[in-house]
Order: sequence, then structure tokens, then C-alpha cells
Amino acid sequence: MKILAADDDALSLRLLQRSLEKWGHEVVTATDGNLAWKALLEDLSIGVAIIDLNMPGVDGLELCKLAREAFGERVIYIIMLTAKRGAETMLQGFAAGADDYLTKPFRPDELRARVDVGFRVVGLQRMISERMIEHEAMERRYRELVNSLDVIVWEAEVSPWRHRFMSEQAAQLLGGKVDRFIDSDLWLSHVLPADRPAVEAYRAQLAAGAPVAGVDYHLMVDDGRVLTVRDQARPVQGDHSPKRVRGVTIDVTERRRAREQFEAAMKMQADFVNFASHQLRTPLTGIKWMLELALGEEDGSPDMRGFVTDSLDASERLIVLVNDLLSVSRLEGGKMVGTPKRCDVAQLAREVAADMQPVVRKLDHVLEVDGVDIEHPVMGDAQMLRQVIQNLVSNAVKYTPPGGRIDVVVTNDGAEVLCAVTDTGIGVPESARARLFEKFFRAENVTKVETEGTGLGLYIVRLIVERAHGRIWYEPAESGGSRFLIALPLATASETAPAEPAVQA
Amino acid sequence: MSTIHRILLAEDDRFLRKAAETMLKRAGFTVIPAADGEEALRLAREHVPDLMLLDLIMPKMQGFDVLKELKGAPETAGIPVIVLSNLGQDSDVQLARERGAHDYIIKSNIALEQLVERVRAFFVERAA
Repeated sequence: MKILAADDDALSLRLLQRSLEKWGHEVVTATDGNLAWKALLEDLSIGVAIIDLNMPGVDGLELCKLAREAFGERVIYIIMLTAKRGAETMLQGFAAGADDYLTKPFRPDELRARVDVGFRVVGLQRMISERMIEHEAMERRYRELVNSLDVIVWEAEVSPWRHRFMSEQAAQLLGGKVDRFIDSDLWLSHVLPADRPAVEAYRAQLAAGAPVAGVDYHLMVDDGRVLTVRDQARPVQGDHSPKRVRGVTIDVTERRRAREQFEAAMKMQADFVNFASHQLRTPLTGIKWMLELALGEEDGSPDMRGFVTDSLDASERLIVLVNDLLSVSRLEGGKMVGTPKRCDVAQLAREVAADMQPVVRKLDHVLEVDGVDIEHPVMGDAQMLRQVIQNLVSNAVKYTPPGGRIDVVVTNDGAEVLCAVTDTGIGVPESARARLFEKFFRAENVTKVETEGTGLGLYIVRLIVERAHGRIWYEPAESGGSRFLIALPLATASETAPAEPAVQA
Repeated sequence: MSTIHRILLAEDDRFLRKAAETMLKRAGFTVIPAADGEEALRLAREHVPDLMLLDLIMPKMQGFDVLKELKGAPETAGIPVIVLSNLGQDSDVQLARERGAHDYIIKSNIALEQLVERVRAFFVERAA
């Protein structure tokens, strides 16, 4: 920061300059008022000015006034120098805008002290104004930030409700200028009349300091549109009187609409799947039953009976496929949650084993069920869980060469019911194990045995087990065959007693 | 079987009706076929069969409504009904049970032989 020394007396100016320079200041000199004014205008780094009162042209007092008028913001500490003594001159100087006053001749150390004070004051003032500029910039930044959010940020006094701050987004959403909401409760007039009681109740809760989850309501826009918004607010900490709350209002119109559309689409898909499955299954059942009747007839060549048998197999495969696709669609859509009731895995395993006996005998297998003398209760949909065990046992039967052994073992460890289905069959190659439970996945060694599977069975099984909060996994069996395990949470004693038997499919 | 049981078969699909009727007749039952809901209700009132096999999706009157009418009238409320449908949602099964259906069979998932077995089992169970 520089110092200006202005004096028409060349000698005293030189003395002044020398002293100031000795004290380490950078000095600008002027020999009359005009030059001094020019220096002040040109050199913005001048912070302190020592100005002689009596100078030709523009005198010290005038210069002082000029400076004060012209440099509103700029801080210059002015020390007036004069040969005149007396309060009159001094007061004139202060009235013109001087900060300090020194009478010639003066003691150099007094001048030094006064100049130091000048620099201190200017330094402080500059620091303050820099801080203020910073503060304003920060406030502007926060304001811009708040206004750039696509939510409305607001602050209000409660009882009576008056908005104290409202971000620009309110104007974007509701039109007009944002100022119209301030110091008023114009907001409420935009709330759909039917929603006003809910909004008032919400505000009352906020005013009472109760924890409030938020409120959804509708806002009317002047052009007739209605917006769905969600309000979330909390009391402002601190001793405000009346109390203040601060919150955000979010326009959820689009979000709500998108969700409704999504839900409608989901329902339409579920309805379609249901309808399509009915429409597909009816003629398929017709074909199947007619073929069964044909097989029941005594006449017909052996070839013809073979063709009918094949057709019957094909129709049954088609029905299985339709059923599987329907199951997948319902399970994936979260529709097929079934009816969780207490059911006994041991009983399900026994039933499945009994159902499978004809095909087991036909293939010369041995199927044994172990651990089913006691109850192993879980919470789940009995029909769906039976489908799981049925699928695992059926796979074991299918992928085990004739004369094999299949073991179903049910145990529980007090936390989980474990059901293991082990066979002496072809097993699952290591490369296929990771993808075993994926949709449409079929292991290579399986497709070599038969090509009829849909690749949906184990996927459906997995979905059902997961729905019942269980786990399913694969382990290679000692024989080289497969072991599939499912673990389901054991039902607690307090969970509902056995209910009516589920429908037989 | 001491008496010949009369079964009212309400099924709008003519292939299914024909197949089921043939098989049930072979098994020794008397079959009264109905091709729509209204006919089914009329024949039920007229004959008061020993068992009714009831499809759900039918023209003129849906199976659910037939069931409601049947169970709502004292003279037909005693007719046991097994729903025979290709609808298989939990909600369908539940509604049928609420309206008084004795059992629920999904047609595509059973063979004709099994249908006959289920019907026989029903009469055995009832006689016991």
C-alpha cells in the first residue's frame, strides 16, 4: 500500500518524503492539489494520504471533499497537514472528510505514529470489505445453488404461517414472481381445496414440533394444471420467535404418473399371461384328452398307437412349457407369492415320493425318503414347495441311468429345514454349476441325454425357494451324481398351525 | 357301486366336453352335459345331480356365478361341485372355495384317467 504526500512547499515535501521512505513506505508525491487528485485517481494502491491544507489550485479541504464524494467504496485514510492552529481549522478538516489532523511543525515520531494508525485502519477496512465481498459471493453461490435445485426450498414462520424464504423453483412451477409468496401464505391458495385440511394438519404438527413424515398433496397452477407434490420439513434449530420451519416441496407429478403407468402395464401383462395361459391350455387339454381316448381304443395298428403316443407326449410337453412360462411370468412379476402357511416338508417329500413311484419302478430305480417320520415345518405355499421337491426328484429320476438310486433326506438344525435330493446319475459338469439356476440354462451333458427340457425348471425352483426366504445349491455327490439342497427357515411354534390342504394340480 | 351316479358336466369347449363325457360314461357314470352357464344352472335345478363338474370361463354365465346361484338356493345348495378349469391363480382357487366348491382341478395338468379317479374317489369318500 502506498502513501501520498501532497505539499506545495518543496522543502517540507522532501522532508516528508525522506522520513516516510526511511520508515519503509512507498511514497507518491504531489506539489499541488491538482497533481494530488490526479495521483489519487491513477494510483489505486494509495491507501493513506497526507495532504497540506493550503495549496494552490485545489486546496486540501476541497481535495478531501472530492475524494470522499468520488471514492465511495475505496478506503483512503486522509491526514490533514496545516500550519494553522486552532479548533476551527481542525473541525473544517474533519467536516471535509479527513480522518486525522496534524499541525506543522510536528514531531517526526508523532507523524510516524499517526501514519501507522492510518495504515492499520485502512488495512482493517480493506479486510472487512474483502470479507463482505466474499460473504456476498458465498451467499450468491448458495442462493444460486438453492434456486438451481429442481425442488422448492422454503422457510416459514409458524402461527400464523408466513413464508420467509421461497426458492425460484416456486415461480417456475406456479408462475409469477417468487416474491409474491414471501411474507404471506399465498401458497395455501394454490393448494387444492380438498387437500387443505391435510396440509393444515401437517403444518400444525410441524408447529407443535412433532416429528412429521411429510405430506403429499396437489397444487393448482393458474393455467388449470394440477401438480402432485410432496412436502418434507423440519423445525429450524435455534431461538426463533415465532418458530420457524424449513422444508422442501418436490414435484412428483411425473414420478407418480410414471409409477401408475408402470403398475397398469404390469397388471396388463399379468392379465394377458393369465388369459393366454387359459386360452392355450384349453385346446391343448382337448388334444391331450382326445389322444388319451384314442389310446384307450382296442383297434388300430401298432404303428398308429405309436404315433398317438408320440402326439400325446408332444401335447404334454407343450402343456408343461405353457405352465412353466406362466409360473416364470408370475414369479418374476412378484404375483405368484402363494399363500404362506405352515407346511411340513417331510409330508411334501413323502407325497412327492409316492407320486413318483410309477416312473421310479419303470426305470428300475430305488427311491428312498429319510428323516420324514417327524415334522419339519416351514412357512410357505405348500403347492409351490411341493413343486420344488417334485422338480428336484423328477430331475434325479430323469438324469439317472436305469437301476439308479435316489435319496431324499429331510433334516433340520433348529434354524433351517434342509432337504437334500441325491442321485447316482450323470451329475453336473463343473463348468455348468455356476449357471445351473439361470433362466433357460441347460447343461451340455443334459442336452445330450434329451432335448425336451425347457431350461425353466431349476429357475422356477430357485425363484420359489427365494420367495420363501430359502437357499438352494448344488453339490456333486460321492457317486458322481448330483445332490441338490434346499434350506428353508424352520417355522416357529407360534406360526400358524397347519391349514387346509392345498389344491392338487 | 350300488347306484349309478349322475354327473352334470358343465364345459363349453366341445372337445373337452366330448372327451370327459366319453370317459365318464365308460367308467359307468351317467353324464348330463351342459355347454354354457345358463344351461348348467337350468339342468342342475331340473336334475339335482350327485356331482357337478363346473368350468369357470363359459358363455352366458360364468362358473363363479353359477356356483353362487346354486349355493344360494336351498334346492341346489346340496349339490357338490368340483371346479374343472384352466384358470389356476390363487385368487381363482380361493374364490371358488369361498363360494362352496368342494375341489378345484386344473384340467391341463391331469389325464382323463386321473379325472375319473378323482371323481370315483369323491364318491368313495362321501359314501364312507
